[in-house]
Amino acid sequence: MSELDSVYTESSSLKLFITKSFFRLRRWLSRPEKIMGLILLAVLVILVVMPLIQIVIGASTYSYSDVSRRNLDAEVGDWTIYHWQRVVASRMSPVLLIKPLLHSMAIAIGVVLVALPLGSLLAWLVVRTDLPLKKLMGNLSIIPYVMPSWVMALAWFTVFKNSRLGGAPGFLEAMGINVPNWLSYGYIPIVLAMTIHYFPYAFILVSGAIASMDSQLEDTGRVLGASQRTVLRKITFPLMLPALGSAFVLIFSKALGTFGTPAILGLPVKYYTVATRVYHSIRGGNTGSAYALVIFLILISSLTIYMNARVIGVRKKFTTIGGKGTRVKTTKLGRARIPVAVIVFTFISVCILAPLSMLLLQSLTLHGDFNFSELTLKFWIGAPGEVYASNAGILRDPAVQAGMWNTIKLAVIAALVASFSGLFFGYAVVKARGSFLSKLIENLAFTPYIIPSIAFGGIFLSMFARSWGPIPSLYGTFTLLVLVTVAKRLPYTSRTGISAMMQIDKSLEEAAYLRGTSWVKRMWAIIIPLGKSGMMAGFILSLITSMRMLSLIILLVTPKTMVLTAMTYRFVEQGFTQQANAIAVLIIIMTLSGYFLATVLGKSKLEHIGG
Amino acid sequence: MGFISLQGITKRYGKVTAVDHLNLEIEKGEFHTLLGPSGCGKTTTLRMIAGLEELSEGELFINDRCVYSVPLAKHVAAPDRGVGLIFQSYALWPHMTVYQNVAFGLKEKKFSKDRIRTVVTDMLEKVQMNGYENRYPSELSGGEQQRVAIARMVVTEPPAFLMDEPLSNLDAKLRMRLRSELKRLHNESGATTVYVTHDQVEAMTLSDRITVMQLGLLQQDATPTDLYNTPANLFVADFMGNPQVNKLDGAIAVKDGGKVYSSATGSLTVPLGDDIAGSVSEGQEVALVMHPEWLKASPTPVANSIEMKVYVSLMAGCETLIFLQSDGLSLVTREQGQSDFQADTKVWVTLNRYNLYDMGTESLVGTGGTGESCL
Ligand SMILES: Nc1ncnc2c1ncn2[C@@H]1O[C@H](COP(=O)(O)OP(=O)(O)OP(=O)(O)O)[C@@H](O)[C@H]1O
Ligand SMILES: [Mg+2]
Repeated sequence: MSELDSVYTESSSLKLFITKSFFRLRRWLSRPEKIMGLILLAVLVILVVMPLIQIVIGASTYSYSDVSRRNLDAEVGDWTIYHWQRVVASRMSPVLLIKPLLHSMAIAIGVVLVALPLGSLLAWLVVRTDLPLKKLMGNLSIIPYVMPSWVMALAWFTVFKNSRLGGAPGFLEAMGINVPNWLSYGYIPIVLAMTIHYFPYAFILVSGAIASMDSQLEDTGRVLGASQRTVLRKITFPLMLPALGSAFVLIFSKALGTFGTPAILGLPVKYYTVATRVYHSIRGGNTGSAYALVIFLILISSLTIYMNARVIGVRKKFTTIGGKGTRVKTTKLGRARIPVAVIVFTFISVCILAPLSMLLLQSLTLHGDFNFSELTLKFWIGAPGEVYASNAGILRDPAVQAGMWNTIKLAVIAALVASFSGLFFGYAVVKARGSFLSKLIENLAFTPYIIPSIAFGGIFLSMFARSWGPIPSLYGTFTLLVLVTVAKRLPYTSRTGISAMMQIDKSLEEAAYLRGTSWVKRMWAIIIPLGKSGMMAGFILSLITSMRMLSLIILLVTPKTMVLTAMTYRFVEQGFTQQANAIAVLIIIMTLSGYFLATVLGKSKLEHIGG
Repeated sequence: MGFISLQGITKRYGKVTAVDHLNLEIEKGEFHTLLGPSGCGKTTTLRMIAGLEELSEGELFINDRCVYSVPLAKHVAAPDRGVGLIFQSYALWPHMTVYQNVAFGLKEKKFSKDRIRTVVTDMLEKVQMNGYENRYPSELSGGEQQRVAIARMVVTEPPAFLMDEPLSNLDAKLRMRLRSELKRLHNESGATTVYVTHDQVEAMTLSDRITVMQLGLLQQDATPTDLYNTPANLFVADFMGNPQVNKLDGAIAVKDGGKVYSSATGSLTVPLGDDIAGSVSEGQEVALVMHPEWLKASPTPVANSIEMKVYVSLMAGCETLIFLQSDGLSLVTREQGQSDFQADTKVWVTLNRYNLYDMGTESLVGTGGTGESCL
């Protein structure tokens, strides 16, 4: 005690203040979740904040190719409004910005407006009616979302491509039916192909909300004398609004920045979206303009998320639905039960089987024209030289084999890194819940969601092309592909990690801490075993995503690091339809195997698959 | 200084002050209970003692050693404080068996395998859980989980036990049985015990000393008897009610030259003894507080009583609660055993004891009555 008294009496207040502050800092730093938070913050700064800053800088400075090509009287890196001017207020601006932006918006809105009602209807049928084989229907409807989105575009071509372009015609054209251009290329095909990919996403998001909604709330309305329709309008819909709102925003911002489908179905007829324009600008060396375009996309995405939070976020508070008394009552479909089941089943099967079988069929015909008298396996197993130039059938082509190996290697490594980092994110965020650091890293980890993949890849390309402080140049390395994949998946992995950690009561770790167990041992003996199942699910989801992504890595792959998706796209660009299709079929098989693994192992949160 | 000494400890979460300058001395070997309603800061206090929560202010001493002080820049980590803690949720590791759960702390202490086996087996026997070694926590009932949690805490023989509402998840019968087991555990081990609960009966039956808290502030620190008989303020008085106390608002008046309590509604007057009369003044607003058993209802007229009517009578086997009314007054009294009072019959109520509180400060002014009717 006297020791304490003397501290108070003898020390000057400044000295006391310093002692106190120093002590507090030391205490703060002694907490593992804080250290972890700081490390993750550093990682986020490198993988998310820096890219964002680089995008802004890139859009506002001269690049090397700007200076060398245009003989400007400027240095590389000088600040300029040139790109902004070019994009917003020049002769070029309709081509560069206005039209692509209108196209992107129109596509995104079109996709949401079709996919969301379709997905919601399906969700309602599966969750809240007595539809037969509900579980099967639910699992099947997710499959189009598991397949790569650009597969739908390729599949579209196998059916609807007309002879305006060269190369293999589509099925209808081959059968002698004239397909109008609007059905072959551009807006309508893009929206429909993307809808087939995104309606399952809407299904997943909405069915979760429907399942957790207490039907007693609706019953109460019925008991009070309201008609079924009034209950739907006045109770069900308002309660579902937050879920619908966030589904809207999530689908909208994804569709807005999608690259693959618009590239395949739009570029042949010079129908540009912002994403495809960005791709072309980067490839053409106009990175500045590309980044300016990206900033517009990011702003629009952020704005929708913000508006959604403002309009619906307030309401969310009173719609915390679910809880103990939750009871899900099923609506009887009555006589419509069987016909509805048949329609749903047919629709889903067509969405899955049609693309798969058409791609497969076309890859088996000699000229890709569905002439079944000329069936061939050469695109699959032909000897070297048998297929065009010097190529072999894909299963015997060393380049494809290397690509397959790269794909699997990338998927496994990225998924491992992603699921562990997800767990660490969960730990740092949940254990420090409520602190500024926790909120900061949680929000930063979500940010990659609103950066279009193509731009994310582009910025990683320019950021890591040269060495950068202690980080060496990563261009052309496998590490770069892993990094970009892990970074882009952060919104999903961090969420999986957070929800896994929320399941683990903090007292479980504290009980071990009280017994003097070190942090590493606590992680090893308590946290990881308990978080295992959540991590496993996250791992498989990352695995699937990494195998099928195209836009994220298309700008980053080199012949050495070539993966299957990029290879397909190159084949498409070169007009080698059958090989492209064959590889697409291969990728579909790989992702679907992953998906079945996930459903067998169970518990996967499928909305965390991501694009 | 007590075995555990809290000196002005404070915990703030942003703007919320969970614990506010709490001073407390917990003597060696004492069973000390922190009692208070939900959210009053009991768990927070316990976690600060255990070392799971940093103090915002104040000093903490355990066994004459400073374990936390900001100005002294002193901090002793939780494992080195020599306290065992039972969490409200038990925090048994769901992926470990009963045996592994109990053995975990011993492995940390680098005991040999054989020694661990003996110690754990002994311990499980002590809490009557032998034979359950290979079960997982999810395969145990609430009471069994509770015993494993106790075994896990006690097995490392810490000199102090901290328990956070260990019985609150159990049903009423089991709670009664485990209360006696906890009391025995304390008697046998002699460990200083800090016990948290919001159940005042539990606190009364188990403790040597009780600290009542409200909104992070200490309200009273006393023995169970003192706490029950002379609550320091209206909050404690109300909280100690089992199930409730009689509280009658009123004011001090002068009658026949002496000071009396006069109720605000109805016409109850209580002459005040000399010791109380000296500390109140005419017109002062006060409240009269009585436990139900301090009132006695008689079916026949008696001296120094007020006439009331039975509103309802609730018989619970061992005791009967009788709710009484007269114009403007409602009271409740407790009779031992099974009394038979019919609703709406007349009774005559005598008052044997009371506490008087000032309405402004809400604190105790004095105690009156000696067992005889003091009306
Ligand atoms: N981590 C935290 N962040 C913010 N506020 C907190 C935190 N922990 C506790 N509080 C607040 O501090 C106050 C005291 O909480 P505490 O858990 O100590 O109450 P308690 O007395 O144990 O209640 P109960 O009987 O419900 O367990 C409460 O108002 C609570 O909301
Ligand atoms: Mg508590």
